[in-house]
Amino acid sequence: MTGSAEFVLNDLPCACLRTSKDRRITFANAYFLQNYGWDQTALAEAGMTSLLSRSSQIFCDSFVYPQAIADTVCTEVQLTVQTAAGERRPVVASVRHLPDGGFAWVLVEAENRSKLFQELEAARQTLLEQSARLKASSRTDALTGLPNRACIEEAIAALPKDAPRSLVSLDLDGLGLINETRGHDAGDEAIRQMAGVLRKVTGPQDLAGRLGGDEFIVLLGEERDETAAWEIAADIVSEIARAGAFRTSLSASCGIASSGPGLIGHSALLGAAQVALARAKTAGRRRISAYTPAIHAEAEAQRRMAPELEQAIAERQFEPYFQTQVNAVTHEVVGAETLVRWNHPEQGVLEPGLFLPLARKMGVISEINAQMFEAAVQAAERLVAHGVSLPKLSVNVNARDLLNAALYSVADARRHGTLELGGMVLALEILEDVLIEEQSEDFDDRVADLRAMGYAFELDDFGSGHASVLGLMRLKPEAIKLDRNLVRPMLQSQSALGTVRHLSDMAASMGMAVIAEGVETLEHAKALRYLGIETLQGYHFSRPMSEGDLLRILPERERMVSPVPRSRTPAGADAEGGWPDVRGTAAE
Amino acid sequence: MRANDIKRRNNVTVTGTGDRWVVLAHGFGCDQTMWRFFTPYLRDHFRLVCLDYVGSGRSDVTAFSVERYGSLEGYAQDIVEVCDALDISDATLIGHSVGAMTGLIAAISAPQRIGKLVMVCPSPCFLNDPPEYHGGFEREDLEDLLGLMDQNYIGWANHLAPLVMGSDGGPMVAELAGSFCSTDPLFARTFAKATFFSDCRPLLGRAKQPTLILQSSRDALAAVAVGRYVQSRMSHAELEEIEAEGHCLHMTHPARIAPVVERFIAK
Repeated sequence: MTGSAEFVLNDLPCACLRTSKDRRITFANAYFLQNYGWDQTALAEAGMTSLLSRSSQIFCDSFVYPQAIADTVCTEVQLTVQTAAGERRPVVASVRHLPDGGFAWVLVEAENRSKLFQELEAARQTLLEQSARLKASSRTDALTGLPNRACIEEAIAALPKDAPRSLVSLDLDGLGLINETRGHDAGDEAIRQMAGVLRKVTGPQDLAGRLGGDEFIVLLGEERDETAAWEIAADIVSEIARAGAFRTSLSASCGIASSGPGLIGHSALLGAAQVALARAKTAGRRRISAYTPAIHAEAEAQRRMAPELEQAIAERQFEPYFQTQVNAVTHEVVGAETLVRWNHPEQGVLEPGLFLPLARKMGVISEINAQMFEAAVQAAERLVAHGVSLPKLSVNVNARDLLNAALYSVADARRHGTLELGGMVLALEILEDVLIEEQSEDFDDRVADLRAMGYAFELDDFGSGHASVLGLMRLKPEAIKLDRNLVRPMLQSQSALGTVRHLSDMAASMGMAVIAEGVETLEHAKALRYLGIETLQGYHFSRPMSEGDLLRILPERERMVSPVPRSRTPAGADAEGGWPDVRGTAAE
Repeated sequence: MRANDIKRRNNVTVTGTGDRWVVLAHGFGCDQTMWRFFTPYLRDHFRLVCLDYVGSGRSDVTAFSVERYGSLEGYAQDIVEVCDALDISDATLIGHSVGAMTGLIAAISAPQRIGKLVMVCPSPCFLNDPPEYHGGFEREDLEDLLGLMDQNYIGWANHLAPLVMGSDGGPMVAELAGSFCSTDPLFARTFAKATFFSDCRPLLGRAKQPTLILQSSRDALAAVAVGRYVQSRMSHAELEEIEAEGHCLHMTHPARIAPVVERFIAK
């Protein structure tokens, strides 16, 4: 080892300082004096505090000194030191607390480190901005500039738990038509107009957004109750009707839902508003509907019922019930309609009104009809085996289900004698959820095939819904069934009576029999008989009953009455009634 | 939260013997270990409660939230909750630096728990507010301080976490911050902002507890004028000026201030 300690200190390429307990500088090495421009005298007067920038003073007092006192050393802290000329120099300092209460300092230049930090800082700033832009674009709908689904769902998820909130869900009624007739640019313009309406009618505390397609949403701000939601919905409906170039074809429907204590939770808000919206749209265009406890109960019940219904199909829990049809004059049983009952494992026997609407939504009606057809045929076989007389049995079939293989196999089995139904006529009661007149040509072929196999056709609910005169002319059913909603008021309403009479006359002129449904009183039965209607069905004669009950009331085959009068041939009907032969021209 | 959870959360330690309670609230940049030079003078006379605010020392950092600890009220709430957990009444609260202000807020909200206040080097507001008030610093100095803290690695996690996240926070920030070599940065920056940008001057008059102010004669952070200001705005405050350099009297001059504190508590 050579040289004194002082020489070594003066030789080091860093600043070394020693300060006393009262923070005076008692030693500074040559490096410090040369590079920071201080002379010994000035330093002695200045003290350590005045060597540091203001922020470094705070940092030393609140962190470096306590740390050094507590742990003897405090290492690797960046500070800003001021030169005699007032220039600021970044340094990295390590500080040791000395036994006499003073401190020893090593200061290393940190210019490059500091620059690097600033570059990092600038890069970070750029990244932050980019990230903010990305975030904004990932949360904004590009077409309208409104918040998108992700943003809205996030906002709903972040709602404070117990604060009640209202939400309006809405969509454009005529957008599909605009897209089809005026092109997608026009459709986009309609969506932008909708966004404009939303911006106009909502307040600063509301959140309006686009979920996608023609679906929009308004989440109302705090303290804005369902009344405010109704007002906004009404504004939307009236504004969009007046908006721009689409006055005639564009309208909006709204669904409203509110969350809060005693109501649904926030997470169910969006779904509930959409349920309400679906109801509004079912009711017609330009409607507003709110999600009520009753709707909630119904939706909940359906939600619970859906898997049960699937299970019921898998386990064939459906059972045919029968309602008799009687001759209007003799009141003898001339036929029966098959009606579906669900033997629910817990709730007992359920009527179709409780599950068919859901089955229709789930698209499982055909499945149920097919099971009912098979069950009805088996029941008919047993009735025949018991020797009772039932001239005709009707089963419900959808227009689109005429290809059901069971229809053909049952006909085959009868022809080959493996299925014995006596002379019983199987009538296919066509339930329409599609228009017969819009069916393709093979519909006519199938009808002809099935008729040739011995099936009769009946058109259900005639006088309401989808059953039209055009459909009637095409199907040429053996019988029409007058809707109960026409029959029931006919004693009070001249127009209902008139309609029944005219439909009956029309059917007669086309060679079709008429079956009146919903015959609930003797007076109805008398009036219908007076109008010349041959066959009656309704509570006045019998309620739907099980196979066993039907067996008990049917007469034995010796007393068998003649079957329901087969309709006159279509050709004959044309000749008698003077109707043009549409069957020949329909294919053109 | 149960009492034991609070004690664990704030790393509460109880030492000493005596009938009366003394609660020690540390300042910014420190934790309860900074009291170890001072507590030997008190532990024979009092039951001493030391705590780390959430985010400092060995507290449970999972309890940290920027919302709560972004203001001094959050730290004061820690003090009150610790007093509740120990069912302390009529304690003397000794707070250093910003700890004097969190102590003040705690004393206002829980007067039955805290009967007396000792403020070591207090400053109710570091910012100058001319002409009447000289906290000692301009806003730029304090912004500069946050920059300096960032340069000292403090705050790097805070910087990067939101970037990686692409969001404003949430559990991932905590997870990410925890993966850095130190969990301190986010908490330190939050505490620094609460400390250096708060203005507690309006609160001074609202504490009715007898108060002792220990003022260092040369304190770059809290000048003598600041200590005098605090005294003038409080209803029952006495000021003892200690001939000393620096902002940490409890570390540099424990023997000098201990008897003053003892006498004050005994009064």
